[in-house]
Amino acid sequence: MSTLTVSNVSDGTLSIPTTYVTNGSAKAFGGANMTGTAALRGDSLNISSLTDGGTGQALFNLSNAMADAEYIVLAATAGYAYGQYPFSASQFQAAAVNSGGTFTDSVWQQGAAFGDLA
Amino acid sequence: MSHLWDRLAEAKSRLAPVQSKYRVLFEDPSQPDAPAAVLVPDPNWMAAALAGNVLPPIDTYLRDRDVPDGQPKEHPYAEPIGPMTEEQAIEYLIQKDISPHIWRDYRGNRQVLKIVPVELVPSDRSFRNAWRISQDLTQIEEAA
Repeated sequence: MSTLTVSNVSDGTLSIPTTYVTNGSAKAFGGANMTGTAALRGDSLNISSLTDGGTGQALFNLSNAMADAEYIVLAATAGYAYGQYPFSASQFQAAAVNSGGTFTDSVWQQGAAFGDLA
Repeated sequence: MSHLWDRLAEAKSRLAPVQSKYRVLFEDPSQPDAPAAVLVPDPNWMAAALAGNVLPPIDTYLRDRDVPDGQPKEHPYAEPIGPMTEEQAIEYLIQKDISPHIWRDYRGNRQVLKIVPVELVPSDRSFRNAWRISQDLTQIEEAA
């Protein structure tokens, strides 16, 4: 594997430091179908497994942990997203509820983590 | 030494995902009212485990559990291990993603962890929050 060291990237007109790109990139992402036999679905990066902890509760486990538990989680579901946040430096939750606020399984429960890697 | 995240990204671009034929069922003795949980391996992670030279030794994760947040962790910088069988990968995943108080420290009489074929996990989730690991059969039964 080779390394390209670049301080700035440019489109020919505007340029930004590469730290904007590296810091702004998702360090982990994954999706799950929590209906039927729960399974990971779609693409994933830096996810080792999914913990199906109960109805609507999807917990994504990271292969490479984040530096701490203060990273940002962006999550979405096919229903109503609920409680998407870091559980720890190596886990984040992407839960789903129905319109009444009750946990419910969704065909899409997905999330991405942004921040510093350990 | 390459960083673990770099190796994971490179492996993802090179390897085809591998769907595991196993699931791990586990219960938390410290939360007796919680339903049984199901651990589902990630296909990209499984492909990396089977290929080798991506994942760090499992003991690096175990030692990193005691490292406070914000302090340098060992697992991203450790020398990767070689290829594993799927069964070895599941055992690795249990140690990594399930708390040691379930797979290592529990001394009770109840079976709190089982590795089962994916076909034995129910697809009907109507009573998902009542699932318990059957103490007699190799499949989850709804609590009586």
